[in-house]
Amino acid sequence: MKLYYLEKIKPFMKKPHFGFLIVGVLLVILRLLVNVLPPDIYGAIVTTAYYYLAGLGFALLLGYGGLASLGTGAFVGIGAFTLHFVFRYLAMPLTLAIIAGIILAILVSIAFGFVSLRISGMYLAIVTMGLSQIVIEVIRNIPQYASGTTGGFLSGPMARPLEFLGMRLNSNSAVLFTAVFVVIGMMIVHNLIHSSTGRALLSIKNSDTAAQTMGINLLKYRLFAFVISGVYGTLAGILSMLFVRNGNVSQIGITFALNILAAVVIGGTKSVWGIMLGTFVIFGLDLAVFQRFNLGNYSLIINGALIILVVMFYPGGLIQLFGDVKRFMIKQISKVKAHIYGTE
Amino acid sequence: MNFATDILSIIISALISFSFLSLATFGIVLIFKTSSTTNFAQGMLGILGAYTTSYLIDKQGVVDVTGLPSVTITSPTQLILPILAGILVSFITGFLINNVIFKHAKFTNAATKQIITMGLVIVITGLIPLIFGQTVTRVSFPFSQQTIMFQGIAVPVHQLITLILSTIILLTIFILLKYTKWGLGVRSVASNERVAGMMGINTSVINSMSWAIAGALGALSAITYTAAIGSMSVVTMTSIQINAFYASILGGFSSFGGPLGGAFLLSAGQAIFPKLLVTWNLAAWSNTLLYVSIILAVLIKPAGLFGKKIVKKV
Amino acid sequence: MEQNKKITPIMTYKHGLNVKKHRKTTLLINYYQGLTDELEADIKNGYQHSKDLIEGIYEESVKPYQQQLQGITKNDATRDLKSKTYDKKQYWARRKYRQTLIRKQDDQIDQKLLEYDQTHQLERDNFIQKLTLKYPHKDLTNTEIDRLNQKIASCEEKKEKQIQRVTEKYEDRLKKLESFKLKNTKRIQEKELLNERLSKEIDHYNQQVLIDDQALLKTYLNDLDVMQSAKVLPKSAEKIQAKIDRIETTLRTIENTNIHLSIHNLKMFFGGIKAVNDLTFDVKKGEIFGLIGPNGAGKTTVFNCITQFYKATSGDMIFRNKEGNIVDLNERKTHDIINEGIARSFQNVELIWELTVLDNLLVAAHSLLITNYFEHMVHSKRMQREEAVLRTKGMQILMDLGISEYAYRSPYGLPYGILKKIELARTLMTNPTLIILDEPAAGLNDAETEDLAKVIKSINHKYGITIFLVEHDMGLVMSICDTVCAISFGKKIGIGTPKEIQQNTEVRAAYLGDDSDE
Repeated sequence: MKLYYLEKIKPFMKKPHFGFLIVGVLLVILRLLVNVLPPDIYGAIVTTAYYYLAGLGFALLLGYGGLASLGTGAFVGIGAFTLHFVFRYLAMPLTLAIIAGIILAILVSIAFGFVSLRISGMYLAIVTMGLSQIVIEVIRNIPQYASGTTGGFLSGPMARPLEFLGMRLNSNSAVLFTAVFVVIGMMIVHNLIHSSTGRALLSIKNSDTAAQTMGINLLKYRLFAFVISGVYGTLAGILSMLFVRNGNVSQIGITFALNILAAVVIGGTKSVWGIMLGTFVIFGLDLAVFQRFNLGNYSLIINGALIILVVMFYPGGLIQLFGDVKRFMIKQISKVKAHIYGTE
Repeated sequence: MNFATDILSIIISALISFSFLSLATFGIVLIFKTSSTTNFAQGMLGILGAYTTSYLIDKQGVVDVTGLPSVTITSPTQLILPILAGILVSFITGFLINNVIFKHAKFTNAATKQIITMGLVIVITGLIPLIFGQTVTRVSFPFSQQTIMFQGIAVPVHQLITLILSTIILLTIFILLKYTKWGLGVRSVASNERVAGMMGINTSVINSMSWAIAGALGALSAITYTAAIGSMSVVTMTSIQINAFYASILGGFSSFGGPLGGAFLLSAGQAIFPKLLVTWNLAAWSNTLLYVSIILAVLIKPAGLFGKKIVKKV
Repeated sequence: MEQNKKITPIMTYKHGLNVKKHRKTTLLINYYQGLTDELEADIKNGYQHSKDLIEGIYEESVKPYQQQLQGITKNDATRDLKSKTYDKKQYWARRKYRQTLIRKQDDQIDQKLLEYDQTHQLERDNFIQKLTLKYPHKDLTNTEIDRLNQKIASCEEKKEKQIQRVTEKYEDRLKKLESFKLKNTKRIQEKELLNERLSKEIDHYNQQVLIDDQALLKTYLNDLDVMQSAKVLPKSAEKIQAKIDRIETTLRTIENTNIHLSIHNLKMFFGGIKAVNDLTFDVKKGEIFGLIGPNGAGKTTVFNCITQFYKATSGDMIFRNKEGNIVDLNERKTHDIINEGIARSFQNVELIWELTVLDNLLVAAHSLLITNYFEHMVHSKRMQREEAVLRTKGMQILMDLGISEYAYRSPYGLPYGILKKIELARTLMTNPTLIILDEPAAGLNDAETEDLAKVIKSINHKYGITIFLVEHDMGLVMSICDTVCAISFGKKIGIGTPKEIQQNTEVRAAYLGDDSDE
């Protein structure tokens, strides 16, 4: 028994993937606590979890691709509304609806990717903002959704309840889905970052001419970054629809994309944990604390101020701040020790 | 309705939207050219001024019973002072933004500056209800409630005044840019900030003034626009700002006038597309199609319709 | 044979695919060949590691029993532990006391410490006495000794069983490895056969192109004659002439196996600016070729045309790639150039500051990867092995250049000379046959430039890599280049050995200045 532990488990615990697994386990535990926690805190954690997924995809695009795309909202919308449309109106099973959403996401992100080749840097943010507006307009104009801005409800008088692999899903079991997707999502992004693909993306970001000399095909990698980010966003949308059971087009517009940007920038664009921290600060605190005490406006001000301060003084994000604080504390402690105990 | 009247009404409505759009667009262009920042907070700067104006107008008279503002405009002076105050507020805010934030930011490449402006959007969105109260909409006041008839088309006097006002302002700015020392300074900083600084131009003053002026333009745009549509909320200027960005990339950032051309094309499109699509009952898609066409145009000419491409030396 | 069959676009497309597949297969073969050794090493190390772990566990569990057998009973151990803890506490208390004295700048430190030590020695003796009373030493009874020996024996049994199990697994794995080796060899053979077939097809295609070219040449020359006698418009005659030139250059390069890169009538116009105007020269295999000229003469533009950053306005660039085939560089995309065997460095250092130096080298080996992004997403074994191999290679190159100490840090902040060396290391990662260096000595002082010259020369000698460089530092150029070509305003004004160039009057007037004592 001990041998097994030393041989297999201990080395695994040293890897960062272990931390990701712990996150998943925590989320599953959360599911079990659904009756204990107040509903808005429960909701805040779950929402933060799938927004984190969208943030991960976006961070890959921004931090490693160097592409500032404001289209995240569009993909969340595609995920949520495709799921609803295919499941409810086309009466297809759930898995098919999810796959349809992902395929649509891939197609749209490839379109975004091709657009990004012609347009660079700052213009890209504007154009992706526009593209995401177009997607929102399209959703809004589809006849089934044309009743204003609200999307459909998955609860209420429904044709069929949600079923997956024969199990009936209620809103709370969406957490399990979220847990699985979040863990897998974290692992994939982490693996990509520490692989040749991640390095290739970084080299394109730094200098696309040098990257081409080294044999890196710009189109291929740009498209890849966009597709990953689009799929992640769509998954977040799907999860949100599974959990919240309704969707509102206005929730996923520019403000949402800006909030995701804020979360990623504040937390630290390059680190998987940093993004989690950022998402928690932006979305989690907002939902769990500020909305509760009706301080919505304060949360906006703090979020915006945080973005500005972090970008001005700590471009590495709060994660970098934590690292610096940790080092500072260690230094201070050793100083104090020297003061009390002297040197040999 | 004959063909000529149709064309005329299209042109007039295009001019009307252009009057609001041009001011906002120019503010964006000014900041972009001088400090290489895409200012996402342009609209918010403007609405800040508009709120100030509206607040000051309303303060002039409050109904005792309901506590709600109720003012009747009897003389122009009631309007002018609050308007100027609103413009001043945005002017100062723009100035502060540059001097307090951008000057002290440690790592300012274009992307970080962009992100800072996004942060500003969020901050101001939260700040406005705190300063001006929780009321979601505030009715702003137009220059005049009258309309005049021109060749059988109703033109509100307010829009007419706005159009004349913005034309005058833009022409003045263009003349200043071309023929004054300040204008030369702005154009040099726009071309290459570092070298301009080395040539003795006070780049920080130029930058501060550009932000301040952009703020003022935004305020004017917001004030006139909210007056025209008769309501105001925190997100009113968002659509104008998005359109201003579109206009800028359509026209191309490489000149000061290109984005204005883009703004006119966009306004024209906003007038034409619905008229065309209404025959197929697709009027709701006119916005979408307009945006799609702009993006297609930008894909074909990435530097903008009136822009020039800059090649980087490796 | 299919003589006189014209090359169709489909054939060209297929040929392109063949070449790509051939290269990929070569990389795969290399990977498979190294695979079995690695797997074997893996298994052996794993076995050794497991055995070590088992030994460790055994030692740990047996130690207390053995200690007791040696006479150190539980009481003794506890006593020992408690006195050690006490001493440790005392040590830190004493240090604290000493530090307080030092801070108060007491001048009788030594004396006070002596007193302190004396008091505490008495206290300690007291404490040890009490301990000995509380935990007395008791000899083991025979039953206890037997019991301990039993326990030790059972631990040994367990260990033997575990070792047996692990050895069984190991032998099993070795057996599987043997059968895997057979499969692997078969796989390698298959791939090699595939490669042979592909090579044949590639050669066949190249031959066909050659035959076609020769036939076309005759036709074109004929046409040209006809046109000239009929006094047709110069435009069409120019086109024909361009085609003739291309074929002639290609044929000449094929024939003369010494030529590595042949540039013929290269023109690059940016609107009205003639950056490169009718440039012609040959770079021979294995030589160091230098391009000199005043600023703005068009040197970097030449490089950018060769590496396909710019599409040349006109002119031919024929290259003998690393497989020995002749290719027209104009037909290649920018990111394909490296696959033909050309690597380049940049005038401005274009390293990735966010990665370590070694990681920067790994990026350079991108064209050597056999894994795709799916494998990267899951960190497959193949990807990990590939990365390990590339890291070793990168480290080796860094050591050869003498900069291996910087391998694990970011290039940010390193001296300029080191950065240039890293750029050079980057070009070596893919084993190119031609390296293009854009002003490698820019910004270096004399000592660094000399060092650079040595390094370039050694690369050229050791690996036989042709070096094509652009430089302003005449000392460097004249000392290491075999051939020097001078250009001015996009035109060639002289080509020859360094000595000949130095004596060329036109070159001296345009560039060197009439006083040349290099």
